[in-house]
Amino acid sequence: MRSRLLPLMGIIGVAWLLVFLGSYIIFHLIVPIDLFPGRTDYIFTFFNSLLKVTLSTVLSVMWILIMIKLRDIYIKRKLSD
Amino acid sequence: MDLFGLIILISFSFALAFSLTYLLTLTLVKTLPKKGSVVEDYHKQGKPKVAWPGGPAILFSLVVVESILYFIYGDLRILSIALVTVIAGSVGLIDDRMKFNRGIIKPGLLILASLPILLLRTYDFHPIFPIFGSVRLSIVYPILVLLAVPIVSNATNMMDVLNGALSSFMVITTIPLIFALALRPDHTIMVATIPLIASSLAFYIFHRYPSKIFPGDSGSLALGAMFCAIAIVGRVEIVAVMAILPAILNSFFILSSIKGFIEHRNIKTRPTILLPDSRLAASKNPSAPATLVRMILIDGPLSEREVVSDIFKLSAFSAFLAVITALATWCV
Repeated sequence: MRSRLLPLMGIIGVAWLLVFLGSYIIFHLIVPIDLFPGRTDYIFTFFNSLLKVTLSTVLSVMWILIMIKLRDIYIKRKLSD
Repeated sequence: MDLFGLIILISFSFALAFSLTYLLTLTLVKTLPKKGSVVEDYHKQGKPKVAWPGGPAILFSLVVVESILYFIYGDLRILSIALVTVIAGSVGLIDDRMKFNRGIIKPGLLILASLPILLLRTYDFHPIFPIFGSVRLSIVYPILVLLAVPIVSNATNMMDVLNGALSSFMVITTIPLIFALALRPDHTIMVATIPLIASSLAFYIFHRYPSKIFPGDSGSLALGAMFCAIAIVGRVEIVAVMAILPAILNSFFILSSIKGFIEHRNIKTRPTILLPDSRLAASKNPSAPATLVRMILIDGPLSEREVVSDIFKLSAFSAFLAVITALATWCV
């Protein structure tokens, strides 16, 4: 196998790991968050859900930014050779 | 169903989908050029004319076999797969004939292809993740279904760039899906997946270098939509995402580099250049879209065959990761 494929396999591997890790963080760490234990009022439930959505969105945006950064590093490094 | 019956059905599905696609594609290879339905192969010197579109052969074969399987099993999930494939393939056929010039129209129409899954309620909003199992996504999941078919079918469409790239990609990408479905107790959807691999394989015989026919959007969208429908109704979504990562990353990198939806025929700066010795080279223009092919070629020029071989290796690597994902989901 030509070594030129290894960085691309690395990018696919990182994407795979990030999906694994990201889904674990969202469903195992963020979803169970309960900022106001025992409080069932609408306002507390709303803010609790808002926090979860915000954290999950931040994580998803981070995934996108990491992939764009990896692409840019790969292309710019090669084009500047 | 016992093991013997399962083997008979798998063999029947494979043989029928393979032979139908093979015979229909052979017919199209002979008849389409006579009707003037050809396109230029941009990646060869002299730009030879190639028969197009071969999608109807794929679409017809898939729908016939899925319909027969639906009558055998009476399972609405198989009907969903068939309907999703028909709608996406029809959108592709319209695009092949009329050419949508605005990039957003095709993804918009492809949302219609998601509807059979939602209307027939053949989805389960508890997707199964590796290691920690199923999660409840009662509100978000139907929205994801609506988005998934356009995203996946467009991603497979964007892989249709070189001779044999799409058909070989679909063959290798479907293997982990069949593996994951085989690990599950119900094998109905596994049998319904066999036509996808059989049809792609039969089409590959004519699509490989040097291509005698191109699938067109009718072929690529039908294959991608069917893959997506199988992943959803078979509840192997995460394995499917991992298997199709090269296509997802390819379309993600293109869309993020050109900053928006655009038809690939309308992209002004070509990502690759055809050299006088017939090899392909990456465009050094910083504004050229970051396609997977350009990223493969950025180390130096390669022949078309070598690029397709590299896409195949990347797909095989991704399929391997998908198999690990399947094992981590159902065997841990």
